Amino acid sequence: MSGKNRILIVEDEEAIAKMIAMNLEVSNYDTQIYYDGSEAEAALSRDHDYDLALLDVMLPGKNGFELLEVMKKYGIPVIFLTAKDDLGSKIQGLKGGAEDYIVKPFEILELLVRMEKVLARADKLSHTIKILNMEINFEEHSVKQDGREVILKPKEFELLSVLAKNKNIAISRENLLRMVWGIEYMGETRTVDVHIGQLRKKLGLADHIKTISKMGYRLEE
Amino acid sequence: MKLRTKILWISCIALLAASLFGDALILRITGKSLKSEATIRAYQSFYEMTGELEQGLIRNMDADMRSVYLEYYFKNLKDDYSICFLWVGNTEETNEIRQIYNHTALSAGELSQMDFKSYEGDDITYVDYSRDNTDYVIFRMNIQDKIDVYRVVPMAEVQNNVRRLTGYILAITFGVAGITMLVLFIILRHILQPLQELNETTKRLAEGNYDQRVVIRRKDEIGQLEESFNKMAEAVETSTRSLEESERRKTLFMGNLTHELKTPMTAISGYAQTLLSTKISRENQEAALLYIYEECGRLERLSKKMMKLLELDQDESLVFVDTPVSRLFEAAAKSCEVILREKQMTLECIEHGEHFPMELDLMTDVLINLIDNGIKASDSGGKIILRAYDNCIEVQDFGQGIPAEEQEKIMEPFYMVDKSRSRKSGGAGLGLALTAMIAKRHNISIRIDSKEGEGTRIILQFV
Repeated sequence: MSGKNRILIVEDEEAIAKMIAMNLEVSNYDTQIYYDGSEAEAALSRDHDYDLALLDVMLPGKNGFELLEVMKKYGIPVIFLTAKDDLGSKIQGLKGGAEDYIVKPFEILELLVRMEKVLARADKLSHTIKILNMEINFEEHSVKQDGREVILKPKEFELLSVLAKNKNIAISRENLLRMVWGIEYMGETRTVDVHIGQLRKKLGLADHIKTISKMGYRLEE
Repeated sequence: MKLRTKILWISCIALLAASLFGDALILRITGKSLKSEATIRAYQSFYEMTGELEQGLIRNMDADMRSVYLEYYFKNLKDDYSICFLWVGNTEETNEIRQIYNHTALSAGELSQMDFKSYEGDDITYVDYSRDNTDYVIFRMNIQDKIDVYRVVPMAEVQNNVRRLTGYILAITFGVAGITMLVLFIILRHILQPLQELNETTKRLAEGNYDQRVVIRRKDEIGQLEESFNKMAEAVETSTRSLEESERRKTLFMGNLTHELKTPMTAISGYAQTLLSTKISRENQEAALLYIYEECGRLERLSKKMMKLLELDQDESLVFVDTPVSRLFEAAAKSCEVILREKQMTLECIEHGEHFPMELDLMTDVLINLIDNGIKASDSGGKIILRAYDNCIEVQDFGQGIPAEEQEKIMEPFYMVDKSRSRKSGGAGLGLALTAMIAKRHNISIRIDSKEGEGTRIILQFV
């Protein structure tokens, strides 16, 4: 499956909705925003081809929990994004059938990673990503550059995957370490630097894997 | 121990003690009385007997005759009485009469040695004697200085009577005591029952059921206690409810405040993060920065209003100056010039020289807030009216109006009837809360007269 994933955003704060959309678009998602629960429901009856829905709980019109039922009907997985971080709401949300429940304020990276997990579970993620002159296949764990396969070590491939899935977003060394080598890894972040160097060399990405001071590494397209 | 049991025991003991004491007294007196009677009867019969004996002896003066006579008399009497004839005369006439006729339980020697008392110098003397738990009265009379006649009268019958009487009296005493206790038991239970009920109710109240009350059935001290209890329960319930209410409102306030803070912070933080870590177009960068700027503005306004709200609440002494309404209207109109023009609305001021004591800046804020709300609720091109009359100031708009069920709540901090509309224009729902606080400090009561679709009048009444 290829093509962009379509994400539905229902959030009544314009600033936040636009911010999420901006970040998602950068990460290669298509987005659609509704500021009102009832409006969203009405729109869904006409067009419900979404891969994932990000819902706020406190909405005008139908609230998030009520919209959850609507989403279930269309088979659209839901992640709640809300300021309500009391245990009761969390339980209600998750038990009601949401895939995840994120409390504001949150980091974009966290949102993207969680979204990815949900999409993967629902098998809606593409198995390949095309970026720059590369084609990365997650099923086969292979990279083709300009049509020719490039051999990468397992961790190199993982690192490339993470950077590619989060293209244009800077990720810190610590986060890269966690995401690729796992939380238990006792090594230093220098490992990340070394592997980045390898990727730049093997794939000629020296100009595209940028070092962003104080923020980390970023694969730019 | 239960009160009832205590009372019953004490009453029982007291009653029995008193009764038994009285009984003992009665029995003693009765016993004495019966004994007296019996003694007197015995005395009389002894008197008769000795009288006859004496007369007989006088007639028969011959010694032989006398002894025969005595013997005869003794034989006659001894079956009926316990008697003893004892010669105490001169030894010269002794030959026949040293006979002692004794049909008593005592020996002659014992009898003669007793200490006899006399009834007022009478010839007959007596003594009380007791042996083997039986009482006796012993009479003695001396006849012609020669013979002592003794008679021993048992008081057994008296004793038996006394015993029987004791039995009856004790039976009656305990019987009465028993019945009295039973009656007391029933009465006490009736009286103390309400205390039991009161105790149960108090326990339930303590557990948190503040609506518990007791039914008042009597007018006595217990009834008064019940009444007082009900009053107290009422006070506890009211106090608890108002505390709970207060607590609830505080929690709600804090919850809302947190939310109102979190929301802009999320946006600001999110955009800043995006700007730092994500490669986005120049256009998007500018949009992000603009949002940050606007949300900061919102936070600033919010915190300013919160500060004001807190300040006013701290009971600072405000200086009220008697000010003509015209000045107030002028100040408000000036401040709202821009927002009125933006929506092409007009402000109409009607006043007749009224003047009220007020803090001008705060009241101006109030009017600005109300005018602002009116503008937001109206379509472009409408008008807002400021009116003063009697002791009131009124702000009227012809906009959306406020639904009846919301009218109560709009004064509460953070409450917004139409969230999205308010947020869009940068509000956080504090305007009216501030207005309400300022009004309170001015001793102004606020009334809302609003109909959906027609408009709203906010009436500020100076009391």
